Amino acid sequence: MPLIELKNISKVYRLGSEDVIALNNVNLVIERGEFISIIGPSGSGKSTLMHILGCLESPSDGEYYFDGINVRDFKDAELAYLRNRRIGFVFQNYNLLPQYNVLSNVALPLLYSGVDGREREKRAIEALKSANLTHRNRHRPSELSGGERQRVAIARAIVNSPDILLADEPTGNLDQKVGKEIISLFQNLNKEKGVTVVLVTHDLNVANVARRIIRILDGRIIEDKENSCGSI
Amino acid sequence: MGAFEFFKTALQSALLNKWRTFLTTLGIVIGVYSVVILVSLGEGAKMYFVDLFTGMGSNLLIIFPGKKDTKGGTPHPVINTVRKLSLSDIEFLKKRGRTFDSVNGIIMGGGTTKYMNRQRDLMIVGTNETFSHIHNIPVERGTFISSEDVSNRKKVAVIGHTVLKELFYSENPLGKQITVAGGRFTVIGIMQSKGQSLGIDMDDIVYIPLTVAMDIFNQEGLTRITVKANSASNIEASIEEIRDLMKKAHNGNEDFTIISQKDMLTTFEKIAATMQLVVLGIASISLLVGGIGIMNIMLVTVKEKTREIGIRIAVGARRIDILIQFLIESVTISLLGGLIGLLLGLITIITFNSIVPDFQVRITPWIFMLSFSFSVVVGVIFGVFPAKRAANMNPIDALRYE
Repeated sequence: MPLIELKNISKVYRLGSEDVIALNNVNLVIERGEFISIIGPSGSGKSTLMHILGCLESPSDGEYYFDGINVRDFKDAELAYLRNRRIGFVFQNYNLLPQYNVLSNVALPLLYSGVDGREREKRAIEALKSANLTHRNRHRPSELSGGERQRVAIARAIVNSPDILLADEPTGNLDQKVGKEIISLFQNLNKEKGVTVVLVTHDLNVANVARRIIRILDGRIIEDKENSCGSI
Repeated sequence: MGAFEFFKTALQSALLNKWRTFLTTLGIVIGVYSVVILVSLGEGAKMYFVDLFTGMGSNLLIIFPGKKDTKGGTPHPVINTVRKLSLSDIEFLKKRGRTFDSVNGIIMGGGTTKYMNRQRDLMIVGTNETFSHIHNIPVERGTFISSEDVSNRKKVAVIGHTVLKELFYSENPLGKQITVAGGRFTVIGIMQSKGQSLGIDMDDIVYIPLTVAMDIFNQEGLTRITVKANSASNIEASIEEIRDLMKKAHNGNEDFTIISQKDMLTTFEKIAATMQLVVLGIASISLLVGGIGIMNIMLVTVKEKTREIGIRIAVGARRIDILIQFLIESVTISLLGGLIGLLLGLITIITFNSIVPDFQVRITPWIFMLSFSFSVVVGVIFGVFPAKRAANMNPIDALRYE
């Protein structure tokens, strides 16, 4: 059974009196342990696809099977559970809470899993170790570099040991060297922990590390191919 | 997310903008403060009146001249067709009454009292031998007016403590001659000190025999007759008996009014309750204004935290978690205000009580419950709308919010 299966997914937004089609009949199967890059120009619908995959948005039409279960009729609490336990998000602009220190930021998802305080801290420290960021636990996000912030965000995404990581332009705000480090962190997580990774980018160099590259244009998947030069 | 985590988050957020939170709570502070003060004041006044009436003596029934249908308070000075209360009424009640033991008549007036070259304007009470017993004011030294003094129109006087102090200093007044309203009287007794009651110095009084007072004031009618019932359970029966006897004495006319202490107390309690309602109404206006202030700030907070809401939803918060988070934040702000208001109120009351010992403002336990529940209710009512707005946010838009 694939981890994720999208069948004829469409998403239509209403902008004023006009309907904007963001996704048009998308079919996609993601197996466990895959490392996939999704590329496409801005406005192509790749972000919308990510949001639907991440259960932040529901499709206008079509079926979404997560681990074999149709999430179409899921209620808010069930979707929240999926986002909390089985999906991890990494954003381009990190999206950390500025008033919390690194540890609290990483532990944030655990608050909503009902994990008690000591266990939260333990697991947050573990996640930070996996993200190669130690000795920064008590710092605020504003005291960290961009690369460090993204490591905190990745630690937060993996703190609940999700099945899949959804990264939306995770290197978009970073210089090339740091970007490379972040990508290799994703590779390690994929290889060592078996986490499925879906990476949205418009940077071909970044996309090229994946074994499978999906190209999106105008809300359609126009290319879905194995990448022989991909390291994973 | 546990309750503790919610409160921690709320407090962190409230303390992030200390000044803003403080100013927001002011409305609630003032609201709860006025509720605390006014309710305690009302309670104090109630207690004051209860003490006052029980201090007058127990199981008392008071007969006033003139008929009045409503109960409580003193009746209007009624028109001349009314037959006055007379000495023969007292004698008749004394002779025929079975459910009560003492009957006391009173005439009150003002006048000048002189001793040597010292003089004093004060209240003169003409009464008979039962006064001291009925009103629970024992004689400290000497004797009270006797029934013989009344029937023989003897010019004797019993004085209160203030009179003693002002006219005699340290001299022994017993047997001394004083002038009361022009007549010469012999002092035969000193009453025990009773202090102030309704602003009247109960010790600044000269008591003289009822018959003598009628002559001096040139009056035939008594101000009132007071009857002490045998027992508290007999009050209703006593009222009936007095009504029957008085009607007989007055040729079948009911031209008098009988009031029990209970009636008077009920009247005062009604007045106090109405006052408290009015006061609570006024206080709730400031709570309303405070609540609107909280709603306003919570809307700003929700707007500021748009991105945070998006992040929390993305990592697995349910909408109900978001709703509760903001609801608890508004309740926390409101409770903070309530707490400050309560503390200020208590400080004010304690200070007031130590400055004015005669009138004690009462701190009742339910004042704490009242201010606590007021704060929570205001926090919830005015927090719901902003919290709902937060919970219904589209997470995608929230995450993109700059």
